[in-house]
Amino acid sequence: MSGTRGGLWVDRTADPDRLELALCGELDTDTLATAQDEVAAAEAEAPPLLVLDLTGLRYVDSTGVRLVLLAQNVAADAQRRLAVRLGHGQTRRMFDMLGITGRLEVLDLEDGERP
Amino acid sequence: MTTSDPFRHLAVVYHDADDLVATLAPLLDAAVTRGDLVWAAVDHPLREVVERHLGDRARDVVFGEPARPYSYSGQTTAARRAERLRELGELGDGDRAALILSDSTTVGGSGPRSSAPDYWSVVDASCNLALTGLPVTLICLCAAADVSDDTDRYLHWNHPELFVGRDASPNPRYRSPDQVLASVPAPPAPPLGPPSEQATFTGATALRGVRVATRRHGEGAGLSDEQVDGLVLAIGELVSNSVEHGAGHGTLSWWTRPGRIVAQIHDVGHMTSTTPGLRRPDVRSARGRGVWLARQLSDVLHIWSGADGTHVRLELGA
Repeated sequence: MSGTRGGLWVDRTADPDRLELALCGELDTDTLATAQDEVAAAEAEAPPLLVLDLTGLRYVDSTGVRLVLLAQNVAADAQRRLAVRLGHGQTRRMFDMLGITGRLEVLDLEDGERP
Repeated sequence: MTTSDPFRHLAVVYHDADDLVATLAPLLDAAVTRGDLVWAAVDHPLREVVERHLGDRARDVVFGEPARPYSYSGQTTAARRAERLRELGELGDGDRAALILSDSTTVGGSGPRSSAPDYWSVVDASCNLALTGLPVTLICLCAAADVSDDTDRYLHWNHPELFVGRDASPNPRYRSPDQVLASVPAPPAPPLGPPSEQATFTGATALRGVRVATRRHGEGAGLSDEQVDGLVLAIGELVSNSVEHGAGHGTLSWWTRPGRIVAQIHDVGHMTSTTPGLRRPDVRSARGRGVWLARQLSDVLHIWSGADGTHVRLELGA
């Protein structure tokens, strides 16, 4: 566990081929800086695949969308992969509503589901 | 509007219903033949003439207004039209387009302000934002007998194309939605009386407490779990917006009754945009989604500015 501050904390899992950040708690304007610091530190390690897991968040708003899209841009520029886990609740509904789910590599789609 | 925008917004001033339908027949017939979504928000005399012209093909026309139930908020009417068209027409996902005929005397419903030219102007300018990018042709119908100086001015300001005779022509007097809404801004929402609860918020650290209170109000009103989650996200986005882009502090007021909730945010800042959350955010943009999301998650979202700052009213529930 790392990066505990206020209502957001981040759990890291590292394998040779991927680095996974599980965001927990609440992601909003107040806690965005914590999340961004963790993502930046992960990006600095240049993992072949960076996974942002949002399923542990009790609350996430459009700042979460911003975090994911900025990370996607960084990964694309570095020719690395970025993937997300969105769950199947309000977080996923928000990404779907914004038309963004289909533009991401989503690891927790159900069998046969199209983003 | 760019030439690549599939959205067309036209207006026609008509003297009688038969002449109107003869003018619109090429567009109407082509839309029905292609299998486009055809929506006619027209009153009964016009409906009869449309049905007579189309005959059996009229069964493929939806009569009524996509944005019902109406509200006092022209912004909401425009946002609802976009939402319903996306849902019902599956627009943008394939080749299907939509044709909407909108009679200005029916937009807004039957209230005393419903046919007021300035309300119609807010609806039209807001539609120019909310429907942009959609394969929709929106034709606003205006009876010549109803044309006042204000109606004529707003008709020319809000429609990139006007029918002159039987032909549609570019309108050189068209103004952008920003320009129109700066000149004819959204009016205040109707007064509600004392709120059942009011609290202040200051800075981003207040957001968690705002969400807790919002969930309590939503559950107290008996909203569904999904509605409550949506309400928490919508209010969270709007208060966050006020903190980040407004005065940084403000008040959040609640009016709650079983099955229905009204929330209103006020801060002393002034909007830099006249067009809050009407245009669907660009999927590639990293910012600018909060107000649009709040519109999708509420039944009415009305934003207005005055000498005392910016007000946002959200309504959810029956």
